[in-house]
Amino acid sequence: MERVLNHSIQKWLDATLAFDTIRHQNHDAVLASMESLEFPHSKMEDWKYTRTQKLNQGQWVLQRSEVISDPEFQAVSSVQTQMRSGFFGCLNQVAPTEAFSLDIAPNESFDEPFHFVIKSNEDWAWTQPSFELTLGEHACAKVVLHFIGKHNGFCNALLDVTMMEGSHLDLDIIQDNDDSFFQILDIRVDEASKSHCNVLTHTLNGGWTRNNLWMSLNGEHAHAALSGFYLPQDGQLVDNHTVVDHRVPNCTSNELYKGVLYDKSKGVFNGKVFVRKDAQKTEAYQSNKNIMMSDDATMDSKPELEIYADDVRCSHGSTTGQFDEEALFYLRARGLSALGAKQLLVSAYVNEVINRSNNAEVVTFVKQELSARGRIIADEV
Amino acid sequence: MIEIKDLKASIGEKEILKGLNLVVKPGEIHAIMGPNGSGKSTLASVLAGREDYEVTGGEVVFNGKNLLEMAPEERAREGLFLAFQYPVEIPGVSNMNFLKAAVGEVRKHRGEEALSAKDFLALVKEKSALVELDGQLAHRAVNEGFSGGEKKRNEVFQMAMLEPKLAILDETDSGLDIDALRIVAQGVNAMRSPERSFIVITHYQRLLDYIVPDVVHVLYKGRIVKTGTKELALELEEKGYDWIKETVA
Repeated sequence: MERVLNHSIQKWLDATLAFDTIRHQNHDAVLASMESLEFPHSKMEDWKYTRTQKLNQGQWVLQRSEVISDPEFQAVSSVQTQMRSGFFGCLNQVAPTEAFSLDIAPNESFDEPFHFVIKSNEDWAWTQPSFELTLGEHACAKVVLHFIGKHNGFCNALLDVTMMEGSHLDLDIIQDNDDSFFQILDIRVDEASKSHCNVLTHTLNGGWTRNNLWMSLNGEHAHAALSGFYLPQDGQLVDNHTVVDHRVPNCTSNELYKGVLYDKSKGVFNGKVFVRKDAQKTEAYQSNKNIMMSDDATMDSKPELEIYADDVRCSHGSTTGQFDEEALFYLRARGLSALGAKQLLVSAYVNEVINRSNNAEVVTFVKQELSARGRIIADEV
Repeated sequence: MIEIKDLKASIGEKEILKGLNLVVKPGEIHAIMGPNGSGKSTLASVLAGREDYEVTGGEVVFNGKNLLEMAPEERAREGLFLAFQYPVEIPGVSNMNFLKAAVGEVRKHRGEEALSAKDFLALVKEKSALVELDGQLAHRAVNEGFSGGEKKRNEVFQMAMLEPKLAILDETDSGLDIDALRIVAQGVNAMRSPERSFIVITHYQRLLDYIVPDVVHVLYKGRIVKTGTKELALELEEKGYDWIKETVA
């Protein structure tokens, strides 16, 4: 059958043809769904603030990532991730470059984190890793996805998380990409009743980063915590799109994203909270805060609440501004340089997010990395 | 120590200091009193380098250097300390990290070696005992959730850690009960030395019972209009400021 695809995506699909070792179980359906899609552009609501031209112009060559897992994991060859509606999610599912599936059996509990390092090492390397994570009833785990993108590459990653009743997951995402690297990370979390998921996105660096995180609360008394920080500099872009979907009563969600924007960088935050008609007694909190370190940096922050239930407690807020001048003066009056004072304030600002992680190793690692790069001052004494 | 000559400063269009002269020699404690709005806190702010104020005239020589040309942090490193009237709460920044950075900068400026973690902690212990500051407070965020008294004690604690040459106490007694006042004064007195000077800004004579000044000045409408000994403070306490205002008028 001849497919009629929008010409803007044809070249992307053509580029995947050589890569068919890993197959999505709904491959044909995914391809069919792409007939109605076009390459994302700024007239689409979801891509209003994030430019995609440079990504589209890349001479990308689809290839494997280097994945180092601890404990060691075998890649799988069949993928069952939920179908996505957006272009990049579908693109990943048409041709994943590697796939990992982690199943935590019911009642199993791991103190040691599962740590995946996903590396891209070459110019024009285009990788599409795919992860599926399932936690059985009352299972408990910590997972770290640590992306390292070198040179001028593009990583289009996908993760599905399925949480059964009473399960508990701490998920830390570390994004540590070069200044010329592009990354899209699309995460979908489905939570059954009494499950508890804490997702934290540490965007340490990267040229162009777009994160989609969709958390769906499908069973009562489930809790979703989602947070992230970003410190873009030069001409970097970090875009976080989140959705929290309260589908049933008695669930809670707590969201905190914080950014510090330097130079000519750009930040985007778009956070949607849906509270469905039946989702009474929902408690949903969302906050996005940004500090502008330069007159040339821009931040587009768009919190959105859609509430169809009447007995709920929800709040959302977005602030974008400069540092408190009083605090800066106070620190300088004690001998700290203007730069040192700002660094100390940035550290405190960002630490509020980092400290929401329950993974002590990640907290230490991230603080050390940021401090070694002069971005924050590590805790001392 | 410090020599202030004909200092004039404004905030916006309003001139607040209108030609202020003051000389403080090493080891001296000078009290500056005066009615509300006379310019006391402006003087403290201008000396510490707060950028909201514009200096429109005069000069300030601090240990032979032009103070007004220095950034706030250079003044601090040169040995000037301002105990804030309203210490700022800085959520998330621990007192310890802050102090370690501050002490590090000041020591570096003096050409001293950085303190080891052990020596730093020993110093913290010694100096916080001076103002009876709970050890736990040192580990909390800067001034966050501190009571009024704790904030002021924290100011004196920081002063003791930084060992300045000149300390300016801007209404450190305001909002203190009698016990806290005694503790704060005790901290200051422990730091008196022939090399260290203090400028104590206050509304009330009460503080000066505890921190006994060598010289008392009355600031009124941006100028020092009367200078005397500690008995002047007692006289002000008794008679108020009206007789001074009449004399000046």
